[in-house]
Amino acid sequence: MNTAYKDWESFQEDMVLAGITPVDTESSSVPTHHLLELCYIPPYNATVVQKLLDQGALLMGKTNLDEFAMGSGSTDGVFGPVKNPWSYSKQYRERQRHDEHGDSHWLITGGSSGGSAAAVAAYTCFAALGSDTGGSTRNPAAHCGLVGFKPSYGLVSRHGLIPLVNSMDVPGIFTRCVDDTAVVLGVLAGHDPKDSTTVQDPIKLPMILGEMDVSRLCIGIPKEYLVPELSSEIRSLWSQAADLFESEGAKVIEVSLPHTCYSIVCYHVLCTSEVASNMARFDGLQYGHRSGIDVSTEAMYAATRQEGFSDVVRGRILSGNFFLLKENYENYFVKAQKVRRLIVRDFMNAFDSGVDVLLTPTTLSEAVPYLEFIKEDNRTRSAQDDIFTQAVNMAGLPAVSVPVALSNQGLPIGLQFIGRAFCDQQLLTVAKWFEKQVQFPTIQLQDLMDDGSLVLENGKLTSVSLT
Amino acid sequence: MVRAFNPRTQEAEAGGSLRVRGYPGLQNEFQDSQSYTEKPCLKKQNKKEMWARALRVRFPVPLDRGRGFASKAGPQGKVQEVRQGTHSPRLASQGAGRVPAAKIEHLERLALVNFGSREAVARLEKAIAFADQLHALDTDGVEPLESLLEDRCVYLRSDNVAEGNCTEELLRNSHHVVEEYFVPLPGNVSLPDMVNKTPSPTAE
Repeated sequence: MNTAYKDWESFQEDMVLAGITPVDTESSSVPTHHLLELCYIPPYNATVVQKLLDQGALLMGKTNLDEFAMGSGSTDGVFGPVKNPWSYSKQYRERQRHDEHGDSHWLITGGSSGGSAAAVAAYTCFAALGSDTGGSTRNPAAHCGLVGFKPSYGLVSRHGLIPLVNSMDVPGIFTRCVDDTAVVLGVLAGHDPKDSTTVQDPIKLPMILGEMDVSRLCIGIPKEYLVPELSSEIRSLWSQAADLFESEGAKVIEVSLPHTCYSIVCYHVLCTSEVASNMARFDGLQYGHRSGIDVSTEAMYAATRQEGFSDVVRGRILSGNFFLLKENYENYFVKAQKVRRLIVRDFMNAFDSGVDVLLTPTTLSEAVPYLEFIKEDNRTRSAQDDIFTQAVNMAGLPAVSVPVALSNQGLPIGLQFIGRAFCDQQLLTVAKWFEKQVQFPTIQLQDLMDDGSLVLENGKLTSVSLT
Repeated sequence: MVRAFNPRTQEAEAGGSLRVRGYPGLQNEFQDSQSYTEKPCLKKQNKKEMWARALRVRFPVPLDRGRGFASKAGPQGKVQEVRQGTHSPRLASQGAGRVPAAKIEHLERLALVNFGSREAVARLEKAIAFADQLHALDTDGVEPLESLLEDRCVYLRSDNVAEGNCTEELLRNSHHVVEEYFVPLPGNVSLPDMVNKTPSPTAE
């Protein structure tokens, strides 16, 4: 890799970066976003961060997210919710009624890695890292008009990624085009001795995406993903995408993933159980916020966790502990593990039938206004919004959300491609071809720029129009 | 009902989904047989029929490549009317059983996190009801999946000291240290109610 290559990167705040100290409490350089860890200065870098720094990346900053990556709106972080840059785009604003201008109707980015998505969508950086446990990279990517990539589980190191669900977490990558994702992935992929869940298979690097012969491709459309809640616009785009592949000679077939409807329930049980275990380390003793209670160790732990965790996090911990009780372990946790195997088998069967790549929606609808989003609680929203994305995490497959078109409201819509395990390069090659066909428009950000235009040096998209 | 879900039947509604809640026998059929796997030689015409039925919007003009995509949906981004008994498992509001008070306390003790309010207990009950939907699925003979890497060897690092000597950085993150020790509090004191309280959420 050319060491003179300069990237500007943003990292999500649940990846550790050594030595960042707060300038003041308002500053965005506060190390992590969690109240429990507001005073935590990591003594080491996450492997993915270090790899990028070693290649000459410049760190722009750390970005906001839902607390501990729990959520699908990036609305539940201690620093507040994240605003979608598309709320301020010309494409969106010109379609709104005049009385809806003003800042109260801004849209969510999706989540949980919404801050990273917003940073890339607003052209503040070349790329950003997020995490993806149930769709937390792909969901905001779709809402912010970006390429959001989830690598195969085991391809990219999780060392330094604060764990949520060890068996499903992966670092995610946000970029504005697929080639950029391949560049970043080429730096990050590979075995890490500090993460024993990274595989040792040799990976061809650098990752250069060649031309795709679409006529040799077989695209699978999982019929169970055609749900009534899916917006008609996304359904239409999904169909158009399938037609596009077919018109170029690809074989497009319907496949079945019969256990899809259990997937979100299974994810819910496994996620809360692993969360309960992973959050047990936050007791305030060695790092993080510590309560002033000094009666006993347990009292201090309890008070620390009460003060440090939000309702969402506490709710998940308690649910997880319930499922892990001795009397419930078989009926809930082990049961969910069995259902997980069935879900993995569904995907394997689909791929074994000759499918190279699955094509699905990423989200049920375009980004919604924040005021509408918060009408339901975090868990309900996550259960609704993760529907197309979390099964992929359970199977450990690579997946990418590619922006396709703007909705009637002028907001981005993305579609998801899912590949076979460790066939990330092939998946990105398909995504690159598709991206070239759809020609997704650039965001037009007026009122946010001081000067007339923004010129980027990567040669891909060189200006943002203000007219 | 069986016919509607059999993908080999060309009249199968593409909008139909595998509604297995309450139909465990049906689930068995799909679990065991390979018949649900679509054959690669599915006729193009029949596939189009399925899409046409599912989609409310038709595209009379072939897709014009190179001009980018446009959303051609008629309704202004409206979500389709939700049918009853839909694809995704919904919260079963009936059957959300009450969690006994003793269990609540036990969970608080285990998690060292308190519920804090009756709403939080209600949320737990809903979460349990949501999870209960798994029981409709027959998983006899299925092994639990613990790790996606179960078919591989994963390696530990060799047992050589390669880094360390960062005592200061590590201690710096703790609020209370004495010399090189983290300082906890007495550990042989059981969790007092007064610390953890907010009014008991399960008080009758």
